[in-house]
Amino acid sequence: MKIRPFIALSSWLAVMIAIIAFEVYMNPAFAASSNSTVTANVAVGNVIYLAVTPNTIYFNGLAPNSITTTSANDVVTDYDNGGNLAANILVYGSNLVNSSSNTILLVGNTIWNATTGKSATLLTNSFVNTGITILQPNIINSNTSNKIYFGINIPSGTPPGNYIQTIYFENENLTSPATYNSPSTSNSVQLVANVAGYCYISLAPNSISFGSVVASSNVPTNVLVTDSDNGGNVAANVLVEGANWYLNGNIISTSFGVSNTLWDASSQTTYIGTALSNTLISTPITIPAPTISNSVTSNQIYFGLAVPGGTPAGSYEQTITIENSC
Amino acid sequence: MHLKYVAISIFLLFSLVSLSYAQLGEQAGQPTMNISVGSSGTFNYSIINSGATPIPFKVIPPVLNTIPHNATPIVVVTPSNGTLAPGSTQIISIKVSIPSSDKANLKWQGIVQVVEAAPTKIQSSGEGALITAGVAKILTIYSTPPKPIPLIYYIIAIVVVAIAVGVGASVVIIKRSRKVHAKMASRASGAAIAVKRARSTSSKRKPSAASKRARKPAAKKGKAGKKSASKSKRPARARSSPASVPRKRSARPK
Repeated sequence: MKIRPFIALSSWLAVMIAIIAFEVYMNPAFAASSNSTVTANVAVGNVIYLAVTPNTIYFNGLAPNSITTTSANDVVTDYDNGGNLAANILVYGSNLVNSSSNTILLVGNTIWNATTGKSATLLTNSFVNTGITILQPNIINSNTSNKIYFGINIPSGTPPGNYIQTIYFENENLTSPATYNSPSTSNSVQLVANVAGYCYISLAPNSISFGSVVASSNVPTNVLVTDSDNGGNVAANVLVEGANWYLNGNIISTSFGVSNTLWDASSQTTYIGTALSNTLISTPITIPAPTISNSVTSNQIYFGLAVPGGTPAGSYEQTITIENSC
Repeated sequence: MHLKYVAISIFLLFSLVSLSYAQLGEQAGQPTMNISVGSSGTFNYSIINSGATPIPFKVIPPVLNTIPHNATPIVVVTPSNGTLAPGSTQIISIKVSIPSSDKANLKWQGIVQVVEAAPTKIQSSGEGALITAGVAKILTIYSTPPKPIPLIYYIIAIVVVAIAVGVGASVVIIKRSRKVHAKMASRASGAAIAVKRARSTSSKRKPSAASKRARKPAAKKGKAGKKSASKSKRPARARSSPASVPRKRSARPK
């Protein structure tokens, strides 16, 4: 009979409607799903990052007893790549070491500054706040940075060679509580200082007197000039030359020859030695290489004079040139 | 008392007042330069003022020894003078050129001097010896044989020569082949002419009855012109043999 399927279907539909009605009643969201909201929460903490570049800075051909001021050539850039706090740059360093000569230069020979120029601060072996700030990164500018410049002082007598130093960096926000950068593998820079060989010359006195000399007489070779090397790091050979003697120092006036002046490496009691010439010649006199512990070395050269007979009276002048060669 | 010693030279201790010298220094290392004959080389080093006052300086170039039958190398040192500020350095550049006429394995030496300029002094009384400081380099120059031509130049030269030889040979071959062709062509034309001559000679003889009968009489159509022995379409040639009497064709039998 056809009425039975109809009754079954109707019964089934009635049951489904009842179930749906029950669900809607028990779960309003089901009925009102197009209008519900979801609240999400996340806690973003303060963070500072750190990365420095380059990995190595070089100082080449440095001279002992010299200061290389902070310059644009020796700059390190400190980045905060994605943090959300402003930070100060802190630095400290190790000593400079030359493993070949076992020479150590103290960390304070390295200087730093926020700008280039002579005025700078000595590096220390513990963290120091440089006062150089890195701006707080934000969503628009998530990578902020700042620069720090380095210079170096090479003490007198520093032996030639390469001196290696490590400089460490830290970014820090000093509000309470203080926040430091997250661990970073790029938190240090190697500084390489190449010291070359140099010799210096300093003469004392810068003029000498032979006193009152009568014509046809002489002065023993005992008038001293000291040749010093103040701060070099290699030995030097001494060379000497002279010019003729001129009345009142006027080269077109009366003169007598340069060879009337003698020189010697030792003080003499008589007028003996090697005649000075107007050609630079090498002497057996050497200036030893200075060291850090003995940074000034020197040697002596002595002069004597004979005045030829018939030389007119007056004041005569000669120029003697002493040169160091290394 | 008549003074015997008329000339009295008095050298007083000068109470000279001069500016304190700053300290002049130079980078270590004596320049030894090996330079090929006909070329040049440069050596650079630094001078420095480690003192607190400026140093005016001048450079005295070297005077090299002379070698008979060889020109002395040309040495140029720059700068020739200047002033070193306190704590500053200056590069001194030595450039040496050896003339191409010089021989190899020669040696020259000389001294390059950087000397402080004379100090300013206030002369109070008398004069004496002024002591001037400087730094020096002992320059040594060796002449070496001229630089060999690099291998690449030899390769390029060989390639150029090979190309030139190839081009020349090609030209020769082409010319020869043209000659041969010309000869062949002239031979061929000679043979053709001979054939023609032979044919024209045979056409001069009185034709026999048989040959007459053998000829096909042609209908008179139009003009009877000269006909060549061959019925090809070759243009008429001027005959070297006396012109033969053109044949008359007899009428065709019906």
